[in-house]
Amino acid sequence: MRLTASELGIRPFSNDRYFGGHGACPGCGAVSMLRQVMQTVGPKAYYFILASCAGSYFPGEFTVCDSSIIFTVYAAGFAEAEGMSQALELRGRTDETVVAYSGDGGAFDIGLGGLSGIAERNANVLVIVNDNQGYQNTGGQQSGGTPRGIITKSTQPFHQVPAAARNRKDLLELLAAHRVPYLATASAAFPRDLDAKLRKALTYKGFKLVHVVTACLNWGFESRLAIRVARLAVETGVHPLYEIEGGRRYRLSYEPTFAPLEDFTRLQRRFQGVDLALLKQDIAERWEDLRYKAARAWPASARQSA
Amino acid sequence: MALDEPAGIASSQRRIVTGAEAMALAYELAGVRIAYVFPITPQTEVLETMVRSQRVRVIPSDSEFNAIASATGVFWGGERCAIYTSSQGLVLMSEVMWEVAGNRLPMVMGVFNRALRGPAWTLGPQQNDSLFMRDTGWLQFYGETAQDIFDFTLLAMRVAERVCLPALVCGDGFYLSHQKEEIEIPDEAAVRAFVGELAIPDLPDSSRPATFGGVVTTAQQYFRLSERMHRDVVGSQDVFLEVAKGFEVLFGRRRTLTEPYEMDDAELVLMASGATCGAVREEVKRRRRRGQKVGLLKLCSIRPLPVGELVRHLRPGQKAVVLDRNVAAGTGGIFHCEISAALRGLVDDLVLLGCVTGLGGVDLTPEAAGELIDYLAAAGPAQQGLVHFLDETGLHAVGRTERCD
Ligand SMILES: Cc1ncc(C[n+]2csc(CCOP(=O)(O)OP(=O)(O)O)c2C)c(N)n1
Ligand code: SF4
Repeated sequence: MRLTASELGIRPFSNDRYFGGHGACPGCGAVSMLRQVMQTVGPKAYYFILASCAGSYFPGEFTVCDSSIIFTVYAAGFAEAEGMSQALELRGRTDETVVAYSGDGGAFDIGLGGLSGIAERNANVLVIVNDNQGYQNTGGQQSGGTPRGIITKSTQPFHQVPAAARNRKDLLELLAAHRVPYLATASAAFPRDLDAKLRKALTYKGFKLVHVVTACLNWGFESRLAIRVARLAVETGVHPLYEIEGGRRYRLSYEPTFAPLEDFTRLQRRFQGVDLALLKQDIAERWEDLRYKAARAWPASARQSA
Repeated sequence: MALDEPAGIASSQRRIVTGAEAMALAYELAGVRIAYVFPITPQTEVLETMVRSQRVRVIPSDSEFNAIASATGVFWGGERCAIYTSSQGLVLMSEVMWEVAGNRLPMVMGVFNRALRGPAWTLGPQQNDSLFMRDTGWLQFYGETAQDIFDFTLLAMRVAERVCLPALVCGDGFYLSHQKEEIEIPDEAAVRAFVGELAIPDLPDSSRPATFGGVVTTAQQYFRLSERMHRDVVGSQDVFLEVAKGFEVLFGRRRTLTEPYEMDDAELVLMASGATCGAVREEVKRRRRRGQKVGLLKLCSIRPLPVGELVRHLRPGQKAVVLDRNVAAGTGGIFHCEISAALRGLVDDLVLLGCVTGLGGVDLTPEAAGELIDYLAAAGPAQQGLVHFLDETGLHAVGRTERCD
């Protein structure tokens, strides 16, 4: 009989829901985020995993967590999760959570149609987007989530669109336009905030999504620094922590120190030669937009309809 | 035959329905509670029929790709799901088709065949959409009548669940989807008794966490899983016959994977699937009146390829032609290729020709079938090296090594 660390009571991980044995790169920023997600969501959950690096976070032959894992072909995971949630509802199994877990490539690009579809149908699914800003499982190519100016493995330095002419997609804004119940950004470096947002998300029956920027070793940093890099993404304002209820009500959940952008970029090879002035302008404009939206008061009726 | 034992046969009513309505009814009477849909001609008729049902929750998806993905999720959640499509919709699903079969989920999907956007757009019937899925591990049944569509939808559910493989139930677009015929619809209770509860041996269960559909550790594991699927597709011939026995006892209709018509003493045999059989049967009837020994062998499935039944019905010395409402560019008709490869070494001394007909919805008339019969009567082994085409201009042949000019 095979026992898990928690069944054996091995401390300090005996209460963990995500155990050792995964196959991610040592130091992968996504894995600590995933551990926190599983901890909060609890074991009565089904995770639909879109093709991505998560294929190595959950090996195929044994189970490194106490939830059920279902791998899907790349673009199909969102709609599969919706179908499962429909079946569970028909069968009266309403105490179980259906999660769709995707990379940025899955959510921003190849699966965007499916994500939009289940948002429009308000599927009772929790979506976790692990945004490592590129197609990392295939070695680090450009996705719709790659910041402008970065040379990835699929970017031709000589033929690329000028950095000023291309921008990273803003996933939360895309989904806010669907007016879904709950959207949030979060970070593995802010575990209490992540935990609180997941708990809030799960109070909603319907579509909810938590968008987490995690640090990937393909960014070119020392493997011990994944959490520091993730923290700096927040503190420099690159990754604002906020939530949107009903697609309208914005709330900033953390006021960063606005550390210089260079503190974040200096640690990573991928920013070599990137025009930081453009990125700084993006950050400033984004924050201005978010503050404007967060300050806006909505009449009570709009709140209720959310 | 079970008809002689009226005690066992469920009561039924005769109703005039289209093939599309027959398909929707089969799902509904089987107790399917949910459907994921996306419109495409000619399948839309099924969708519009089912939308009128109070009992089925019909969910409009955003594409066929996501419709079948959601249907997969419904099966993972332990429920049957109705799903049906045509043409472009089916090929858009193709990535998920492999996944469904590989996951061994017994999904049953309806297809009203329509020609693909190859050389042009058209709405006409042609089987290349479903046959494009030939290698996925999905079983594929083909119907000629609305009754066939109704019966095979129910049979497919039971067979799929017995062998843990998904199944397509196909019929020619318009000829079947839109034409009304009188068919026999059994009582709901009997249909429910026949299909039973969905039974899948291994489903996700949060009280027993496990991982589904991940990466294999060794190539050998992948090899073994693939070989196993092949064996189960072949084995589904026998499973079908067992399931069909239960069907016959309950509903009084004997269903097989091939249906012989005037085959007993036939010297010339035409094999065909779907609506093509109608014109061929008509011509066979006329020829029989003239004393010509012609027969029709209707093909009701390509997966499983009904080799067992073919071997029983075909005899050495016969001359046969397989009619295909489909074409694999560079090879010829797909049923013909499959059957001639499978029969090699099993039936000796058989002249077996292939003839492509009806592409894009070109009508196959009994007279055209007659032209083919005359050609077959005069043909010999040499004609086996040709791919024949029968269209509105008549019969012509292309050699397999012919130079393009
Ligand atoms: C249809 C299809 N195209 C391409 C691939 C190859 N592929 C596997 S994972 C992946 C990239 C995943 O990127 P992302 O979704 O951002 O997740 P990450 O690996 O970065 O976590 C690609 C391109 C595939 N599995 N399926
Ligand atoms: S490539 Fe990046 S995201 Fe993938 S496992 Fe390694 S560190 Fe994690």
